[in-house]
Formats: sequence, C-alpha cells, structure tokens
Amino acid sequence: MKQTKLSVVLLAFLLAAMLLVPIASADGTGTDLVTKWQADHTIRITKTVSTHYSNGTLTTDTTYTGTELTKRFGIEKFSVQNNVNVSPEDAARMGLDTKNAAVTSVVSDEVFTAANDPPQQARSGYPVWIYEYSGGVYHQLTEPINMIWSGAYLSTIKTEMTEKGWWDIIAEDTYYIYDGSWKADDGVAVDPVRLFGGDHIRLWQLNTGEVVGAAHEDSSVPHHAVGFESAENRIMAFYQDADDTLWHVYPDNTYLGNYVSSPSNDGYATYIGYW
Amino acid sequence: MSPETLNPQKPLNFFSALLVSAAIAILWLIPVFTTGGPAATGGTGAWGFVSIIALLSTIIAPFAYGWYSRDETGAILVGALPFLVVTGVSRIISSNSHPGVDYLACSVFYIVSLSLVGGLEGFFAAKKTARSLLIALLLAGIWAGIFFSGIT
Repeated sequence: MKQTKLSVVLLAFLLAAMLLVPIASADGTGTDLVTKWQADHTIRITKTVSTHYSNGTLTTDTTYTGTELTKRFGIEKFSVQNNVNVSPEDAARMGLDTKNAAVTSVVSDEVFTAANDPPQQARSGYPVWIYEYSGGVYHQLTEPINMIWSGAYLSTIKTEMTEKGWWDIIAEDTYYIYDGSWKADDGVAVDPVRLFGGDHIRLWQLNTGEVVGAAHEDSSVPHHAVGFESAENRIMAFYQDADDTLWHVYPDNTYLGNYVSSPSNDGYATYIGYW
Repeated sequence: MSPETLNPQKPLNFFSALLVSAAIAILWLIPVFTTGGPAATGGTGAWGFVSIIALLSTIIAPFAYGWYSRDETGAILVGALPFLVVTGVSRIISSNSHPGVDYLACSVFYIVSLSLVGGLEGFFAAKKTARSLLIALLLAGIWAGIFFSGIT
C-alpha cells in the first residue's frame, strides 16, 4: 500500500515535470527572450538622410546618431553612404554647394547590435529580421523573413524561380541574418535592375540545411519595399505548378512574430517542403 | 587656336536627339511590357538583357552622341530626357500608390540628380576637348554611382 502511494506520488511528479519543462522552455528560450533582446537593443536615435557636396565628395548618406549609440558601441554614428568624387571645379559647374544640402531628419527607435552580440534565437528557431552592416555594427531593418524551405538545396529552390524568368545575378545591396554566424544574402529577382520595381527575394541557407527568404516587392527606383505578402504569395505559387509533385506548400504556416504594419506582413512565413 | 575653334559646336539637331532619347526610353520599356508590367509574376527572363543594354545605353549615349555630333544642346537632351521620361512612366505604372514624404523627396532628388548629371555628361562630351571628354567620363561614372545607390 505504501509502495503504491509512493508510486502515485512519483508518477504525479513525473507528469508535473513533463508539463512544466515545455512551459519553462517557452519562457526561457522563446518569444519572451526574443522580445527582451529586441527591447534591450532598441535605442532612440536620430536618423538623418542627407545628400550634400563637401570636400570633393558628393555624398548621399543615411546616418544614425544618438548618445546611446555612442555609449553602447563606442561609435559616434552609424552610416550607410554612397560617395562620388567630384572636383570643386566640376561641383561649381554642376551647381553643387554645401549650402544647398538636402537633409531630412527624424527621431525613431531602432535596433542596433554589435557583431559579437547577435540577436536571440526565436522560439521557431528561424531568423526573424534582416540586417544591414556598417563598421562592426548591424542595424535591423523592417524587412521580415517570410518564407522557409525544407528538404531542398538553395540551387533547387532558385531553379523554380529562374524557370519563371527570374534573374539570379542582380543589382542589390547585401543584407545579413544571424545563424550561428552573420551570413550574407543570395538574391533573386524578376529583373537584374528593376527600374520599374518588381519582386525580389533574399535567400540564406541555414546550418540546419533549411533555407529562409525575405521576399518583398520593390518600388520603382529608388527602391523601397512596397509589399511583403504580395511577393510571398507570388513566389509561393511557383512551387504549386501541376508538375510540382515533390513540392508541398503551406501558406502562412510558421509563426515568426515579425509583424509589419506598412507594407503589411502578417508575421507568418510560408513553409515549403521538398519530399 | 583654341580647342573650341577646332571643334566648333554644331547647331541643335532636335530630331536626332529626340530619336536617340526615344530609342533609349523604348529599350527600358521593352522588358516591362513584354512580361506584363511590374506586378507580373514571371521575371523578365532573356528580356532582362534588354534592361542591361538600356542601362548601358543610358550611360553611354550622351557621351557618344555628344562626341559624335558636337551638338551640345542635343547631347544635354539625350543625357537628361530618357531617364526623366522613363521614371515618369514608371511612377504611373508602378504599384507604389502611397509613398511617404521622405520617399517622394528622395525620388525627386534621385531623378533630378541623374538627369542633371546625364545632361552635363552630354554637354561636356559635345565640347570634344581632351579635358571635357575626361569630365564627361567622370560624370558617366557619377551617373552610375548615383543610379546604383537607388537599387537595393
């Protein structure tokens, strides 16, 4: 009788432990930690977009400044810029003048992190956002991961797109995700230049063998994202042709929590299996 | 004898300048309309090569036209007009219906800069002196730099 009671108590402990472990895991490694990491790395900055001529250089740059940026990363500013050398004589001919610099400035809260302080892994196990890089610091962009492929090589995945006339060699900026290390993207798009805009996806092969993608629709030049869901849906359709018997498409299947209001992204990634 | 005397400017050949400008604009438009517009599902495929040719033409044409014709005004048109027309058309047919003020300002600066630099490239090429040709080449490089800054 005593043994039976002991067995029941032990069994109850075992059941309780089975229930508690996933809950504890969810709290410890899941959404809460990601949210906390995001909050810890979000800092108030002043974003200044400036196009000006100075000291022989025509510069179009986006600069982020703020006391917290300096305090955390030891840098005065985070800049992504394009420089072109123009002699003072040519600048005078072109009417370029430091007094006529076009500058817009806005205060916002954005996520920055050092290369050795990567983003916390989401509960899903997949990267969530993409990053631009400058001077040892990564800046999180409002561009979400919204597609996942499993069971296929990156080249096989791209083939489905290039068969539809997409281009594998394109003009694009290089952006990054963190997957054990910082990885640069491999881009595919409807056109090498996309002067009039069009769909564009950045792909990364993860250490697990899976591939994640950040699909978006570019505006006409100068580019900016005008759609996430639209591009996701059009690319997804490439794997749903009648002859695509090995591809299995699950629209908005995996919750990544990377909701964006404008342009809209619902926070779910389309999952495409190859088996 | 000054280089200007050796290479006198030719009068404006409006028809030729317009013809070259129209040809460049058509080159840009071909890949879009052969594949059903910017929102089309499929890519431009082999027509994408026409995009690359159009891009190279936009850079080279003002230089080549100015150098060959010595028509300064015409070369300015060839450098400025095609990109203005094409980006104007792109605003009409693209799906970016609600751009922000920042983006609008950025777009205007981008397009005006490219048209200005393209026009100046043609102007200096038409002068056809060693120095002006060098400046024109430099401006062609600047044009490419500004253009690719808008391709993300």
